[in-house]
Amino acid sequence: MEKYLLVGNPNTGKTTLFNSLTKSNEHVGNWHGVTVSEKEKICKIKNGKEVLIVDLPGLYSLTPLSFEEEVAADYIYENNCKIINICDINNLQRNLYLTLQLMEANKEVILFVNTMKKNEKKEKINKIENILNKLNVSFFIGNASSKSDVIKFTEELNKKFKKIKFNYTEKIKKLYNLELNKTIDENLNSNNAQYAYTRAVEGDKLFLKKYTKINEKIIDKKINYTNLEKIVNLRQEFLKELFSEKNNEIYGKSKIDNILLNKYFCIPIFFIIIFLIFYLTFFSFGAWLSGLVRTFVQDVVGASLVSFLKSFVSVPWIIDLFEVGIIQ
Amino acid sequence: MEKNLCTICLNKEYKIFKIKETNFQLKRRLLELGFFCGESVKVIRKSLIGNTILVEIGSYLISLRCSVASMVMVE
Repeated sequence: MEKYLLVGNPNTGKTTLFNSLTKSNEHVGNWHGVTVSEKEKICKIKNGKEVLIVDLPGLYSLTPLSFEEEVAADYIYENNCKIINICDINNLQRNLYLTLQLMEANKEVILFVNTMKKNEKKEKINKIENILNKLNVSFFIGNASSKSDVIKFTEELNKKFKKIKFNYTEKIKKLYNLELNKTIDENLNSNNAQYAYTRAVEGDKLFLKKYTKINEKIIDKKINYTNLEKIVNLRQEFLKELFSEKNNEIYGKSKIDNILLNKYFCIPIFFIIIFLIFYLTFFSFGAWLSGLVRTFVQDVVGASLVSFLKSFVSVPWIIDLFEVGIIQ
Repeated sequence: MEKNLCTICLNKEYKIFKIKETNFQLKRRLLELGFFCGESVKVIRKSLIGNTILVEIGSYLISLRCSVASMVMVE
C-alpha cells in the first residue's frame, strides 16, 4: 500500500487535512506543538484504492531543533515515500524553504496550499498560481477543512509529481567537505549518501552521529558552521526572486490595528471597554436579566414547589426550609 | 556603534549584515525564517515595557523578544 507523509511548517493545517482525508478526530489547536507524534491511518481515493496517510509534527527545516521536530525529520529520512507538503497561503515564502530542502533530497512532493478560508479572493489565488507555475512544482490550492476540496485533491494524487529546476545545485556542490564525504560513502548507500552530504554542509551533527558510523570526535572536529549561512543564502535568494513583486499585501497588517494599538490611545481605550462591560453586566442590561431570573425562580418555581410539598407534607418547618431558605 | 534590531528607530528600512553567534540554535532558526544577509527589515511596533518588537521581514510579520532580536546586526 502506498504511503503519503503530511509535512509542513507548524500550524499550517496538517492535522486538519488528516482529519478531512481519513474522517478521524485528532486534536487540533491554534498554537504551536499540538501534534507531537506520528499518526497513521488508511483512507480511500476516488478509484477505490486504499492509501496510508501519516500525520507528522510541524517542521521548519530538515535539521531539527526540538524533540518533536526530530521525530518528524527521522521519519522523513527513514521512509522514502511520497510527501504532501502543506503550506499556508499567507506565509508561502517562508513555507517554501522546507519544500526546497525536500526537493534537493530528491523526494516526490506535491504542495497543498491551504487557504484557511471558505472563499479566497481570485486575485490572490491567481498570483500564487503564477508563482508556483514558475517554480515548476505540482500543487493544489484549497481549504483543508472543506470536504469537496479534499476530494478534488485526492484526484491529483494519482498524477506524476513534477520536480523543481534549481539554479544553485552546482554552488552547493562546491561547499562539500570531500574528506567527510568519502567516509559517508563507505557507510551509506548512494541515495542516502547524497542526503548526508547536504546535512554535513549544514552542520547537522545529530544526523551524522545517528545514521553514519563516523567517529564522534571526527564529526565534532570537522563540522563547522561557516557553510550554513552560504547555503541558506542561496535558497533564500532563490525564493526572493520568485516573490519579487512589490505589490504583496502583508498578512497581519490591518487598519484597525493602527487605532486600537496606537501608542497614546491604547490604554484609555482598554479601560473604556472594561468599564462598558462592567456597566452592562451590573447596571443596565444585566440588571434587567437578573430581575427576570429572580421573578422566575420566586414566583414560578417557588410557588409550584411549595404547593407540591404542602399537598403531602404537613410539617411546617420543612415547608419553611424550602420556601424561605432555598428559594429566597 | 553597531546597531541591532532593538536599538533602531521605528518604520525605517534597514539591511541585515550579520547575525551574532551567541546562541547557535537561535541563529539557525532565524536564518531559516528569512533573516539572511542583505535582506531588508523594518521595526513596526515596540511593546510598552520595551521587551518585545514587531518586525516586518520579507513578506510577513514576526514578533521577537529583545534578547533574540539583539543578535541581528543591521546597517
